[in-house]
Amino acid sequence: MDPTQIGLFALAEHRLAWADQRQAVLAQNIANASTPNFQPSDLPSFASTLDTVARVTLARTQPNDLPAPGGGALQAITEANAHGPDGNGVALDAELTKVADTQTTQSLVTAIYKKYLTMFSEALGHASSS
Amino acid sequence: MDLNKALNISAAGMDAQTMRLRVIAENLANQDTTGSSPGADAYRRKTITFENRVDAATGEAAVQVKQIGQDKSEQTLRYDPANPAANANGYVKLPNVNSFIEVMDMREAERSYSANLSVLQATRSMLDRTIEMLK
Repeated sequence: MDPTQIGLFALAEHRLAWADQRQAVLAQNIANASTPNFQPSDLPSFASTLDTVARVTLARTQPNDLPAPGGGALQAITEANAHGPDGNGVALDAELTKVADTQTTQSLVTAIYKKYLTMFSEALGHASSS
Repeated sequence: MDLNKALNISAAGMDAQTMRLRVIAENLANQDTTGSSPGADAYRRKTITFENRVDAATGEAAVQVKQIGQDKSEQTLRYDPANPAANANGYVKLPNVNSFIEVMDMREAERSYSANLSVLQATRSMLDRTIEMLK
């Protein structure tokens, strides 16, 4: 049985990938809180990326095949909001709120994933380990 | 993996803020350093700027120290003929370090450092939870 063919697992995988990437983008914003002319960026919301990740993409049969447009890494959107005289647009409080939000999302998804796996192992007749 | 990337980025941010604190410490420690020869300039306040540069080795962008420069502002004069750095008229150049500015800068560096540390801890707990899925 391939777990990626089951709707919930595939969805959880996409959501985890989204949370991973968002964490890297937010870390970049916070690390650059003192860099002149740096503008923070963020990933588009998960709901709006769903139709791009769920779309059928072209298979790459050879390494020199071009990848299908829109597939792969999500594009971070740069926000333009200058705060200080140095042209830096990072607001630490807003960024840390987003980090907390990403962390909660990741925690929720991993918990659901584990619960779902436990249900499978129960259905297969193994005693639940947790 | 993106979480490892996030760890590296936060570590680079902490590194940059540490360098900033080092410069602040140097400025504060030298706020009374005058020149050694008659009419010489006193200690000049150092400034630090950051940039987001792509590291050639990893191909990832991370914050780095761009330049440690000097504050070109005017140095005030004080009448002190006995000082070895006094000029022909008996005036000594004083460092252009303002301890209020340095302390405020220190606060900002501290705040930025702890923000990076929070992200690092958040990323670590996310990694932990991912590994937990294997159990």
